[in-house]
Amino acid sequence: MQWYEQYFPNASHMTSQFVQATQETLFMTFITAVIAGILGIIIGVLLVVTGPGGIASNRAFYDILDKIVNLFRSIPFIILLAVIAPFTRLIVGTSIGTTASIVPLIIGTIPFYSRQVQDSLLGVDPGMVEAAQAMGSTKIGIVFRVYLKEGLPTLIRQSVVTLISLISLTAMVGTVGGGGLGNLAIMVGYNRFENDVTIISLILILIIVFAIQLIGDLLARWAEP
Amino acid sequence: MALIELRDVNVDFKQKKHVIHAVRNVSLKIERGDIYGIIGYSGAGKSTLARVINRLQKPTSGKVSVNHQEITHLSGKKLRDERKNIGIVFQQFNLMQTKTIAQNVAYPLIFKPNDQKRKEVDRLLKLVGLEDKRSVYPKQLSGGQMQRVAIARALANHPQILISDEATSALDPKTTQSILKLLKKLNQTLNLTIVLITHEMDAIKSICNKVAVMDDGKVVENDSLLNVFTHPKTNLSRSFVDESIHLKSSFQKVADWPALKDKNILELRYVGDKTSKPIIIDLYQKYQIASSILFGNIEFIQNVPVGHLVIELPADQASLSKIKDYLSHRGISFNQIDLDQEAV
Repeated sequence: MQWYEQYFPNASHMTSQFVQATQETLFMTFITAVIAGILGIIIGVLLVVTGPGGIASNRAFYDILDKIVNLFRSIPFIILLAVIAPFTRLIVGTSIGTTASIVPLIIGTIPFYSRQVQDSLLGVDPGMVEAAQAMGSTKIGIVFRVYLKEGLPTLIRQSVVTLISLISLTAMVGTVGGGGLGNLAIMVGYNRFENDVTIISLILILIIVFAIQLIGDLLARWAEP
Repeated sequence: MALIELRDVNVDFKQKKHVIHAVRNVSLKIERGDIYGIIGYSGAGKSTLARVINRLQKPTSGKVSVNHQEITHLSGKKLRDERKNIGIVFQQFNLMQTKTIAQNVAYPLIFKPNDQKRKEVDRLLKLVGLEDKRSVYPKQLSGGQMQRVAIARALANHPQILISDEATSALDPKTTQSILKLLKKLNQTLNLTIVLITHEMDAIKSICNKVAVMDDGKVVENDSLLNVFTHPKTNLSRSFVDESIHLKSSFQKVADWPALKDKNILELRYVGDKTSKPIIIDLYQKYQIASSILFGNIEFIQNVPVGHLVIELPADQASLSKIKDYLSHRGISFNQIDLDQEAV
């Protein structure tokens, strides 16, 4: 381990901080993924079923939802962080710290993920939906047994894309007091010119990304026939 | 009362600037046990009409009743129950790609207990001859096999009616025949009423007992298959019949033949026992007119032989009128052919 201390003089003494930062990043990612995942799937499904040619087509509802999603997608994340700070304080009592940063992460991720879900489900052959309707399936039945089941492989791949971009976002909230590996890389590594800390943070983030990619690929392959 | 009855059905699709009339004023009666063909070129509105029957498409106006029950305005659970009574199979099969064959067939059986589900799937797969494909995925099957699975799935709800929407159009001729044979078998063994949508007269000819010909959203002719085949009333029906017996292509082949210039050419159509009487010999013995055969064909429509004969005759008008008298007397319908026109 001598080379480690030699080339990473600062990082080698910060193991516990790295462990904590990694935990924080994973915590933010996990909680956001679960909540934004569920809400994103619900909104994505609503967009598909109420959209043009959908099984519960509703022009007005679709138009409004579609515009809201577009609006939130257009807000740069770093500005979103600032704009919703009061809202964050209302919900979690504070606007700084790891838990507080989950609120903007969720709001920043949902619109992006809703579109990913919508795209995945629109890729499901409309013929299958028509066949299910013809067999007397209910709308709920069609959502779960056709759209989500047949769209699952694509949905998993798209979810991986969302998760990876979510990790970028966690790095960004780090810089405004959210903690995690992003915080370490910028606040310690960059601001104090301890480049080795930045490098180690980056390596840890890359490991998380690769792990997600690997698990996602395995899951997608499992879901495919 | 008919099993399926359509009265003055119209279906309009509103586009941005204009309205497309996909189905116009269609009235049809389909009896229990019929294999009812609906034929037309693409865009004629036949698929839309089929979707009106199982209410995948709501008619803009008009009435649809199935089994004495008006279904035009059904919705919710009642509509879903009605749809269970009407199976449909599609050109692209529309099987669920992530489900095995057994799971596909079991799709409509979701609320049945597992052992009953298994029994039903076994019975259905046996019915279509695919018992050994239970656990493979649709991708691993041929087109004909996929269509058999789709048929098994469509029958899982024990429907009285099966709609086949261009079900054989993506299949090769041999597979097409085997699927048609299966449909015929289901019609006979389960007393299943079948509505066969197609653009191929060959498919209709093989199994239908009645046929409706559609053009531009309208039903231009509907009658028993035999009547349409032997006495087509519209040009469209005639061209479907001619296509299926390859009459047109044979005209095209002989059109440029110099020996046929200025000759009289007659197309004869005859039905039933008239097919067994020797016309050509008769012509020679009675009138000393030598004719030669350019084309001949016999089809069996609903087990009745239907003959088509194209003959070439001497050019003089006297013998031509004699022959026409003779044919009318024998009850054979005929048609003088202008090759230059027919070959276009």
